[in-house]
Amino acid sequence: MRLLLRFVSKNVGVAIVQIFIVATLVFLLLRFMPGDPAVLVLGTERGADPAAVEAMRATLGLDQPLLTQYFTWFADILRLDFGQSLFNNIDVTTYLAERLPKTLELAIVAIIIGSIIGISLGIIAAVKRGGVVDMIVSSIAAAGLSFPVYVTGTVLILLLSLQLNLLPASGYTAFSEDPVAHIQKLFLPAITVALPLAASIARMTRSSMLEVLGKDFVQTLRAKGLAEKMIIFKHVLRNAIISVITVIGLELANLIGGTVLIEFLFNWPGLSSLLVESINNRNYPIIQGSIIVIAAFYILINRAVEIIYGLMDPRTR
Amino acid sequence: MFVGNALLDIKGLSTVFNTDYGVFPAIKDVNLSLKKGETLCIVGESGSGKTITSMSLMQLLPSSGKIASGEILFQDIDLVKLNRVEMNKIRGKSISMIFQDPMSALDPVFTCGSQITEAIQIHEDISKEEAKRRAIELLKEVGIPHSETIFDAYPHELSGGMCQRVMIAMALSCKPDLLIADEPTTALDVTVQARILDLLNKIKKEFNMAILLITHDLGVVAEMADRVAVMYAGQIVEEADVMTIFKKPKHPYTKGLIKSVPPLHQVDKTLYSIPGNVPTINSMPKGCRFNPRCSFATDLCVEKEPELQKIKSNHTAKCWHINEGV
Amino acid sequence: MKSNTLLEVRNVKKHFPVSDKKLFSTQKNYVQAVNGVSFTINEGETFGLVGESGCGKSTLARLIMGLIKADSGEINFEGRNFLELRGRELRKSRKQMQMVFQKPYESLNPKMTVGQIISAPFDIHGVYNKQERVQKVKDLLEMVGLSQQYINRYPHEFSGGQRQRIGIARAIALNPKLVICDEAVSALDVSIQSQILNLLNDLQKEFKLTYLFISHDLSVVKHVSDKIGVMYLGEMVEVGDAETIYKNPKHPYTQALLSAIPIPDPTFKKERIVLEGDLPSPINPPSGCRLSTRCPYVIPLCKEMKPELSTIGSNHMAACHLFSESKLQKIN
Repeated sequence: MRLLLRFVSKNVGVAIVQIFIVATLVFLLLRFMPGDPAVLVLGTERGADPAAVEAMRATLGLDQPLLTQYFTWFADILRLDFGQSLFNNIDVTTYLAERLPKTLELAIVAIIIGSIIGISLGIIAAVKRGGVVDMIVSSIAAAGLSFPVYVTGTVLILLLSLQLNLLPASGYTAFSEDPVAHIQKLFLPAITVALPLAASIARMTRSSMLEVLGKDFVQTLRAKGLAEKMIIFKHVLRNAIISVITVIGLELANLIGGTVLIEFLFNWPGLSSLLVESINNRNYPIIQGSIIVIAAFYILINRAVEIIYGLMDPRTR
Repeated sequence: MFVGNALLDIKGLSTVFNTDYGVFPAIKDVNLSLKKGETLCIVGESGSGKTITSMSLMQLLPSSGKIASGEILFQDIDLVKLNRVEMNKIRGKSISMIFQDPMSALDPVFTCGSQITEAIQIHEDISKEEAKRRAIELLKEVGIPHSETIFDAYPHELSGGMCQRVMIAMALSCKPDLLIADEPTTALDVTVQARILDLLNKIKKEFNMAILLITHDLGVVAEMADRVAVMYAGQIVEEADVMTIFKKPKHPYTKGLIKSVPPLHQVDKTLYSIPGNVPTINSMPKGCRFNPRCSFATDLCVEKEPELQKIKSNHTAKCWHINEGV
Repeated sequence: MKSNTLLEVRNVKKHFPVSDKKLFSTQKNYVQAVNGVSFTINEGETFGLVGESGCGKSTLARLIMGLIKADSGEINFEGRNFLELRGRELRKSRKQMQMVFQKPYESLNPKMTVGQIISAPFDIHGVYNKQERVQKVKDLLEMVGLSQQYINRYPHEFSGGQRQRIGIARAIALNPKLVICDEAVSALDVSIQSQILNLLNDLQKEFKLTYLFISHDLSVVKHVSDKIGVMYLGEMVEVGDAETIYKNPKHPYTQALLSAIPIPDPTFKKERIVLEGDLPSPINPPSGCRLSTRCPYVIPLCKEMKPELSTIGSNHMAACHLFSESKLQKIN
């Protein structure tokens, strides 16, 4: 038990250090880019006015010595104060709090759907290796991975929304307002993200299962008289799923900042699109806040995968 | 508990494999029999077919392998005719098997104890607590100290010798009539091997169990066997009791094998070795399969496959020239 | 040091640090793989090194070859301390020492032809021109009993025994003085083993080679060795002439080891000396004599003081208090 606690706390410690490093890099990002950050923010027209530049520097806190800026920066972050939007003085935190849950919801639902489909197909392909089913699954998987999301998404919109009128093409409705509409609007984007996930998860599951099926201990299980179904689901899957969970975790981590195309295509107001909009507007406080939040989630999910791996495979502890 | 005489009677067993080169016989016309409480050693080198014989017996062949003909009579039931469900009732219960590399033969994500209780609960309807109690008893029986601690340990935490003891405990859990041991000590150190072999002999007596021991080590054969079957290139070339095989072998391959072992007290540094290599499955010589390497081979040997010659009531050899001396 | 001593190993130690799971702890644990081993090999002889898993014999072989760096001690090869050589001197010395490995299916580069594998030493040390190399490779193939036609084939086309022959050809390509055979026949069938052992014997006679033959298989070792050293848990416990060790083993571990070998003769009944318990961990070895936790003849002194390797007969040394005790008694 003690070994387990040590293992978990070590991972949490590493995560905190990593987030610290990311925050520092973000801090340095603004201040070490070529050119005067204040001018960059203001743009070419307003940036010509020295008074405006001075004012902007004060707003961004660039008139203070570097170290003071650093400490202020950190103190603020620890209080989850990322500053205000440059254009309307609304707290960055407000924006983040509004957009983050929507990306999380999309990502988590997509992962769940993708995992269920992917793992099931992967198991079937592995058990019926070499057969017709295996070939079909492998082909679908290959196709799923080859199509870019915006193609899949567009096709699905054209088909299910515009042609067959089954689902709304885009937009977002809060669950509290109208649960049915919410789910309807979640469906297409989630499926679009889930399909390539299912493909890569299916491939991973299939190869992991095949690898485990070739191991010596499976022979022992058969020699014990254990039914084949039990062998597959109790033992082989249990061993194979370890690598699959790792892949699922990494895919989830990627989704947190990586759903930009989907969010634009389906008008889903998530964190990725916030980040892109802010980059277009050069709204630095929101850019910094978004990057840190996305990076933090990425790091935490990766650590969680490490911890789960350790829990599932006694050999790594 | 079976009370007949012949526990196992294999008649004319032939197993074939589907390879890229076509369908080939891996073992041909294998005849073996085993009595209760007896140890039969199948000895041969790599490619002899000894492992395929045991796999065929247990119906554990890979999908590319198939029993082409023959009977495997175990307690008067022909195992070849059983389907998977029926065979599962026998595997782990009346016939158990232990394998060569004990560390990789156990599931790494389950504790040793849970794998033993699983073996029990597959075949017997008892509670988890009762199964655990029996498992701990078994661990003690096979000489594992601190059996309660080992019950909760994972395979990778144990040494090779300990893992093999766990495997043996697992194999004994339902009191089998026959234990198949496929090179059980090959991967172990010699002092560990000695203790595992002693353990096998001890439980054989206690449980009145028959053992089918597969090995390439003639020393192990001499220590463990009551009877010996020598295999070469998929066939049994000689079968006799252990004394006869070592003192009065008749088949040239058997004689060659015995001579190849570096003797502990020989002065001359040159070792005897059988010239040539074991034939591969797709390039079997015509006639007697051993003829290219045999110093007594004649034209007859190249033309016709030898019939099984009966030398004594329980000594047979597959050779045209058994009555010729060395 | 005698004039015909080729290799002298003196008090060689290698402790491997073990990574600790603690995040901020400074305590280090070490696997004491080789703990002060000394022995000598004379020119032209075969020294057999035996021991079971975890005794350190493979680590010792790699230390002698310089594949791992020793923590302390001396490795005197042809009179010079190998551990102190650098650069060109080291490379020259390296040519004189070669190794044949255990696993025939893993020790040959699958992407290289047989010819390339055997002539690799020529490339590395820059000897012979192109035609000479081809001729040399053909000669070597013939010497190890392989057809010259095999020169352009790949390892996967050969059996285990044939691959070992290729490995041996590579090892003797540069006419080394010392060849270390690390479990060179362990992965082979008995009849192939004898073929390879005969080959090694013939090559030794023809090229005046010196062998360090490492194996866990005692019948094989007895057959090829002039002298034998027995290792247990990183230490040398007995050294002597092969005949002496087998006929008259003195150290309890050697006795247990020899008595454990199954003899291919069903009429042979023997007394077995059993070592109780399991091998202790090399990270935390027993104090005093490392066999003390399992030895059937243990006395209190064994747990307190580590016995030194001392002479107990002509060309026969053992590290055991039973013999130094009796020596003391004789003096008294």
